[in-house]
Amino acid sequence: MVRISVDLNRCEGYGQCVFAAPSAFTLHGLEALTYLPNPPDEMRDAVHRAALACPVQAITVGVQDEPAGTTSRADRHVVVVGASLAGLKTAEALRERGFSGPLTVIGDEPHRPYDRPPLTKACVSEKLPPDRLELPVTRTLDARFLLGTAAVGLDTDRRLVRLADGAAVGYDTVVIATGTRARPYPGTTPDGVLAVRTRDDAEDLQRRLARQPRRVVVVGAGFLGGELASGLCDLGIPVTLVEAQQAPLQGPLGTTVGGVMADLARSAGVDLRLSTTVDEFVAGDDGALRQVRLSDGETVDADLAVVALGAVRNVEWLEGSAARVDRNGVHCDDRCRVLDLEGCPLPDVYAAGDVAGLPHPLFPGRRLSVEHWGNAVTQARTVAHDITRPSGEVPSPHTELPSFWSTQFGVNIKGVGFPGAADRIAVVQGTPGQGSFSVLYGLAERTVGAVTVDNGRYLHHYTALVREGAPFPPEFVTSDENTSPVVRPTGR
Amino acid sequence: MASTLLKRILHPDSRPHPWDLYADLREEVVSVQDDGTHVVSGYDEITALLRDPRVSVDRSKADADSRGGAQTQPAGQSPVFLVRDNPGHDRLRGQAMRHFGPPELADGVEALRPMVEDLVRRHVDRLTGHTEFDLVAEVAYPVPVLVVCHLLGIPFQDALALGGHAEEAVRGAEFQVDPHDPEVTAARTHAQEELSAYFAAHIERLRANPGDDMVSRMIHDDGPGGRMTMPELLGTVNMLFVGGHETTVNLIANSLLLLLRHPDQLARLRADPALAAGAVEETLRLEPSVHMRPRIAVDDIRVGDQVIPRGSSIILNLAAANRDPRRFTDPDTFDITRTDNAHLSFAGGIHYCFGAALGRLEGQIAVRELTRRLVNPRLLQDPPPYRVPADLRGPSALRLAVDGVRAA
Repeated sequence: MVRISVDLNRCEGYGQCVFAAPSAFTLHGLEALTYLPNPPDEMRDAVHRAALACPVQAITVGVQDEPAGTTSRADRHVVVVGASLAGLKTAEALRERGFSGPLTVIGDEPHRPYDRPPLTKACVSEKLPPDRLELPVTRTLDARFLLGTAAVGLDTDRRLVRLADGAAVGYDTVVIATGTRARPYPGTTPDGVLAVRTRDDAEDLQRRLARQPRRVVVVGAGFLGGELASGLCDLGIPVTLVEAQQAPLQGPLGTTVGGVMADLARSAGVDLRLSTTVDEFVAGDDGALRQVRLSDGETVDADLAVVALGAVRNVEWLEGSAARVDRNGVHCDDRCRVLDLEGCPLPDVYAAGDVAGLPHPLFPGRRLSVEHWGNAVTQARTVAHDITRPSGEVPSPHTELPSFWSTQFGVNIKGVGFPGAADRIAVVQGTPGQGSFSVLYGLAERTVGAVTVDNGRYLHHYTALVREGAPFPPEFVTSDENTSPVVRPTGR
Repeated sequence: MASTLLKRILHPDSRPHPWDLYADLREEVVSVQDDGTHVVSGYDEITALLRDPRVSVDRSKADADSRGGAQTQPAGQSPVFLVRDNPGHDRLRGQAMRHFGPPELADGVEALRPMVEDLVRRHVDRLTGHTEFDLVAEVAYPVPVLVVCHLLGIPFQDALALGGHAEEAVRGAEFQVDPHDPEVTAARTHAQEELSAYFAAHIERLRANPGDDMVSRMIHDDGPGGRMTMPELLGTVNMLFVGGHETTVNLIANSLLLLLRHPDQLARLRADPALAAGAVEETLRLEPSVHMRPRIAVDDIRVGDQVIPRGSSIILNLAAANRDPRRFTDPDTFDITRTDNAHLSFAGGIHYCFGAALGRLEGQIAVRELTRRLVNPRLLQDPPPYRVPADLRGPSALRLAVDGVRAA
């Protein structure tokens, strides 16, 4: 088995990997890519050629992670709590930077680190088996994996991580990368109401979908809800998508992009219920879901519902520790160092990924927790850099912009910056609703975010505008001849 | 002060070694030439401009007196996606891609593998018994021409005559010391007319009797973009034919040139033929088939501390960027195991090379077969003679001596 991953923030949809290894990579529409994260060995050569051909070098082909037994007891013991993307990337970045000490990775799930984005995408639309998502490593980690064991406490005085089974693991440096879990539906739910956050969740969903449900209700039209609804349409399963706001993706992206996604969802056959919430999940005599009663007064017959109402940060295990945490995550400084209750960095305690809340130079005075694939990777690098930084070398703060992608209803949405914080939006390329387009987001005369829909090959340019805080509304001429420039409120 | 570096690069004497001149160009973020052309040669700067919505490929948007303002469209052909901005670009490119690659035809190029392998094998077979030959004439040139003929349903017996016209047409393209030279222009116009006349008749033939080729499928497709018009078909077929082989000729010749200049790398490739893919990528980086691409600024564009004014003609020096020491470690070193080789030889952004995957496939197969079968190959002339164009730069001949040719 080969293990690969594609950095889909970096991917610009050139399809060169598809040309080279059409059994492992698939292009949907203009630029949305899916792939087999764990293709069989016979595809190794083709996958290798695909990785070499990628114009933006976004493909990682893993090596075998075999115990090398070369760690040096003389070096510190780093314990990473959390065995998902941020935890794995921290371990990898530490080894890349020459860290030779003992390394322990603790994970509450029983699985080696796997990639989560496909759980709501290819695992639904292409029935990709969730046990084929193991993430690649670019070098031998030589780490001890303690899997299937949740951390339940952090004692920074004695430098111990306490585990659910009563054991404790001592550390010299600890990295908190416990991520998030699905936000549960507020209220009781019968059997047949799920959330999809883990590999086990996705397997459960696949089993239930295999029984041909009459209809699936997806609750919440954010990124995951839209992806799930889109995948269910691909399978030919009737979908009702319920969203409390006026448009899908309205919170993160506003009503302009949201309106386009609403039209695409409806064209794909989705029964889209906007400004609507679930009043009750109604169970049958067998205790399983039969109907969903909606706030618009209608009742939908459905035997499966998937709740996609966002995520909750896994910080409860840190209650009572010296680390400052709240529902927005673990408070960190710009080097991912965890802060104590007074706001001072705790020695040798770091956080990375969804669980970490960091300041960002674009928003002085605020602390931002970003739940994107990309910042798990970049923060892991920041942490590894700081841990291995020789004294005298200047610290390297985390200043990366958040970046994200979502593929749904045949289009690829890519974004950068903070569209959710903006109050105005400007269409700068194309016309929403008529194929590819690009929009910029403004707040107080500054460009703070950008989104492209099937136009990701221009995002590099817009990223630069966000990074420099370019004036908003923008005043530039583009080569596109079909642009209807318009500035309007973001809508939310 | 306006630079004359571009003029010196375009001069045929610079063809074997343009690299020092490119390094001089990289000294400036934007090097303004005496004819007003803005040459950009840095990796990061070109990467950004390829993805900048203020940059156009449409010559009609350039100031009339700029180098780029002279483009004329061959009679009967509408502008191809190579020289069109959106929305026209995406529509026309999509109408052609449907019959070549993903998403509709994911294995479109892999399906050509057996045919390409067979063509390469037969051309190497023909070298048997010869101890000296010109690799360009025997393999690097005929294989790509025949592959593109196969793709477009063109009978093989017409390949060489058409290829000659294509050679003349690109010789007169924009990257000349003087793009307005009447002699060059006349030869180009004549070659272009010959190609147009042939392809017009070819399209009509396939309209009446479609085959299993890309052109037949484009003619008869009622896909989402609708049917292509005759001027669109003619332009597209012409572009696919010329672009579909001229570049690959250079790739095959340059690969062998580099491998023969670096026996250590050749030995590694022979020990591990899977390195052919890396050898092709490294050839593309170090000796790209296309050195420069033109663009137009439709707005004032700040690059570093300089501004490219609206209406200016821009030249993106891809070959110089591929050796930018700020981006590549040991940029002048030929290393077929190099990782993170994000070269710019196929450009980037929406105009990324349409046929890159086919070029790679042909290059990999040719490199594997040639390095495996040629016994003790040596270069008889180094540097080799070069073709005229400065942008489409590659050897016009590559004289080799061998001790023999192994059986297939």
